Amino acid sequence: MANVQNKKIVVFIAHNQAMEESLSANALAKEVADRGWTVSVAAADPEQDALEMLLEICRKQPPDGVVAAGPRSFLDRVPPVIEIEGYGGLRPVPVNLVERCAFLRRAKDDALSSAVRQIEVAAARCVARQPIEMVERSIQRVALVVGTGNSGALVATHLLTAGLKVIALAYGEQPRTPMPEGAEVIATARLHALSGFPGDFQAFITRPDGTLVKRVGAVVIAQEAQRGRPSLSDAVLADKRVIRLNDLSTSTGNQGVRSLGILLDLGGPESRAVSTLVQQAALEAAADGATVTVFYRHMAVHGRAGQFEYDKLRESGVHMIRYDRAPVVEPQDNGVRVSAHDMILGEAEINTTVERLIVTDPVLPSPISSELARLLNQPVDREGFLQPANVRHLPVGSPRKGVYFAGSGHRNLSENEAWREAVAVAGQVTALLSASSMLAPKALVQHNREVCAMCLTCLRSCYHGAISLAEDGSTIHFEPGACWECGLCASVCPQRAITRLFSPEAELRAAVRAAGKPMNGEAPVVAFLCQNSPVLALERAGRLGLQLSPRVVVVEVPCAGYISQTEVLAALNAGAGRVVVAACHEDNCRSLQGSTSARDRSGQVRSDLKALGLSPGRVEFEGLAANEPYRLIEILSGAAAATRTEQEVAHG
Amino acid sequence: MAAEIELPGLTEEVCMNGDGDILVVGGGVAGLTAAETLADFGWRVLLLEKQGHLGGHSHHWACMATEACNRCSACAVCDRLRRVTSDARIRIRTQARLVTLEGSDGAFIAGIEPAGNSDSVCRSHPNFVLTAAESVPVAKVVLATGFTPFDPSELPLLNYERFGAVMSTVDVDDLILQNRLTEFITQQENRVAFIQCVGSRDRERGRDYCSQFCCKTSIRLARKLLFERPDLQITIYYIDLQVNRKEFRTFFSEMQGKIRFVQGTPAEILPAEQGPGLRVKVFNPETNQIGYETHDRVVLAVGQTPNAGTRRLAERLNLAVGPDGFLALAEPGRGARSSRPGVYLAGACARPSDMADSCLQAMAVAAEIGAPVNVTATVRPLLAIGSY
Repeated sequence: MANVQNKKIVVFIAHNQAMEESLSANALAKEVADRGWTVSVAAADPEQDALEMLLEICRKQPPDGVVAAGPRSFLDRVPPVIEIEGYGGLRPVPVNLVERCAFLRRAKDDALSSAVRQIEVAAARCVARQPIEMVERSIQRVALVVGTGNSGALVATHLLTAGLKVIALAYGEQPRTPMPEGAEVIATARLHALSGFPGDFQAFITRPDGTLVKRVGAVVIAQEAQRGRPSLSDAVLADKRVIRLNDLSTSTGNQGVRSLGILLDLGGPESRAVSTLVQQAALEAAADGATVTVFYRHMAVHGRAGQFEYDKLRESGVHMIRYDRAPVVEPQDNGVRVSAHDMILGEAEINTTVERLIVTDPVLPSPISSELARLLNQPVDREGFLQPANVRHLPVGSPRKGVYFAGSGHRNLSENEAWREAVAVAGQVTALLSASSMLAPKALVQHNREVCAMCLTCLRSCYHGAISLAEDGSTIHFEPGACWECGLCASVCPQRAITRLFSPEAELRAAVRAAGKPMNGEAPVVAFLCQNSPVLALERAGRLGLQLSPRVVVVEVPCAGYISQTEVLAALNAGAGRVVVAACHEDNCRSLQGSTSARDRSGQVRSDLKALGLSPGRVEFEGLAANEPYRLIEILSGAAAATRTEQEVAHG
Repeated sequence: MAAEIELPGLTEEVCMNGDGDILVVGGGVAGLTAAETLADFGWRVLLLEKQGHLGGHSHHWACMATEACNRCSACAVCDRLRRVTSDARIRIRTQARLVTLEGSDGAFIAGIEPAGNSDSVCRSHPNFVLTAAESVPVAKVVLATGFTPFDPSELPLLNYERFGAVMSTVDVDDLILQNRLTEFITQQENRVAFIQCVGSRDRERGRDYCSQFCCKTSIRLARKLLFERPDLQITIYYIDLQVNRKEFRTFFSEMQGKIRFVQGTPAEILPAEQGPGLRVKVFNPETNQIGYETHDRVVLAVGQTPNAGTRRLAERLNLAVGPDGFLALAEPGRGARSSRPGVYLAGACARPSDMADSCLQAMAVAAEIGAPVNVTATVRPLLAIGSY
């Protein structure tokens, strides 16, 4: 077996018919063998056999690195870490050949040279890789529910049904709503800090008499929103005949009221939850014989049940006045007068005097939510509610694995939705804690304490909760079980005190050097593609049969947060004509800041190039979604065409 | 054999069969989410998809990002898809449909057969395709068969088929997906209107429901169009704007100055009296008169309708259908159980649902089913997928 830098690299090529259409696996194997790597070829139909074969090869005589090349259906089944007894875990580098080759169906030679280049890039990564030591860690079958409102109680109930232990934190002296039997309620308590990893967190809880530490497998932040003040004058709100919806007694309701008015949408469109309550109140009053008038702007129906309720309301004889500008409310001797312009009737002003007027309270995030967001290092959304509005984690998840959100404190919910959400959250927690233990890497980064200035930039940039401050504040702790491997901590560290072990700098540099080498005398385009969007878009482009220039060499990264000036410049230095950094769109980054970090760093390189009198256009940053395959190809083809033009100009 | 089996535990026989202990029908957002969550619980899952590709309608949805992501969630399906295809506990069969379901809760025998539409074979997963009919023992069944977008040609006054300039939100999405927006609107044209509730909130046609997603779709689409073409004048005709979901109130108020929102949905689209464009008949509250507005393009925000095959499927599987043609839930609004024990419903096959709701329903279905009884404690595989 031939060695590359004294490392044994196994290239395993699985192939199927789709791949053979554009590239012969045997021809590729020959090229690869010529470069001195051990190569095995297997048919990927059925893919399971091919995978078994690969694992067998690795176990028999553990190599230093594995390049798993083949169709996506095979690569999807390749585990992120191949465990080898007494040796540690090997991380294979997957290379998707089918999609790459589908791009190049019309030119078989291009398909071959492009595939060889992608394997060279992968092999270069393998050489720089170290085996990862895996450890088995226990899982606590206990869930911590923070908040004892409606959603907290519902989540706790479903968790108990699923057989988990539940600890519920009440910020007040009593739970806001009765908690189910079997839940351990800790009152007058606040969550103060959370460390550890999903499956085994340490929750630090402060109480008047001291701090408690509880080991819990998962955390559900079940906060409810709080009420704001309706946008009406003090005088109007002070009037006893003006009742805020939340103050309406559920037992007496509007009994004995002969004329009832309900005023909606004063502070913007109401939520479905409010419209349900209002419709119930209106129906009850109408059934009691009252004259009911609803003043509204938009009726929140949102779905089938809402339309059903709304239909009932309209059929009940309730007067519906859809106003176009905010009505004027004036308390008078004989009742509360509401003057509104009906949108349909136009200019005619309708004056209605009612015995009682119900107004609604705006829904606002509670101060406890912002405190929780701060201590969990989770941004709130643009309205100040819990949970960042990031589609990677919606509807109930968070960038912190094992931390879930429920209740109106994170989003607006109708009664049925709140119920469904509680069931769903309980399900996610149960699924997470269904195993008795988990395998996690022993370490994913190396922290050089001598160099570290304790500036905590890394801690602030990690929304996954994988970095915490030691209790005495003397150092920081990295938790591999919570890490998503976005690499942001290492790339933002001003002291370069953090070294990635999972995909070290040396690996990326080696990949970049291999990628940037001229191909048949032509300068390639090095495309750094984030795994979470652009890589998916590339796969989809392949499935659509779109054409891509063979000049484009792809370097996949787990997150665009990996990319710093060094990598971009290294690619140009290696001979790349252009560098494209493709990340997820802003606010779509799984690690929240990876995309913006890559954008800023690419921008930095561009201005550096300009200062040096070079073309800043040689570095391009693009935000891209998984469902933008056409745009991705346009961007990459554009870069390839521009490189070709530049090269032709340069060569006269 | 079915009657002898106790509920809800599984018999040895079912457990021994490696072919999926839970059958999930439908590979859209609800089906993928249900399959993923059930697999996390420790079930083996057989996922059936009628088409040649997974992902359902998201296949035609474009990204709505402008300067930043606008949370349309279409890409979230791609994410889920990757997780499902890489999960060894989930067996996938495309171009496959469920035709019979014998037995009862805990011990069903599902008859599956090739769906016969070979138009869209997935290139990267050709070995997912079901080639021959099979009988599969399964404990539970989750139906996530989705919806069909309303066909606007059912409303002849809207002239969807007659005028090329009248399009549906689905059509515009498809053009954006393919980077062909210039075909939608030329440089000379700049007046675009959206008409909401096309095929929704229409009692006459038995569609007396709000489809839940279309207000958000149109406002996002309008923002995307404005991002590409800042000179556009966009009007949205609506009945009640549904400003629900995370951050959507902020999003809506940001758009209020940039888009004209007009209450009342035009029922008829006519050609312009002279020159290019289309006329719609609307009530103008400012002049207090009924008049005409001219637009260059009119986009119809189509709602969700039950699939054409829903009734047939319900008959075959002995399931109840609701008055609006969607599959009926045993307890509307709450649980996900259908009228037949052991058969659950997730997503838009049971009620019009947006993405967030479909995801939530699918997660809730998995939670309702719970963990398999006979599963032994296991070591959870590594969660991180950052393997490069």
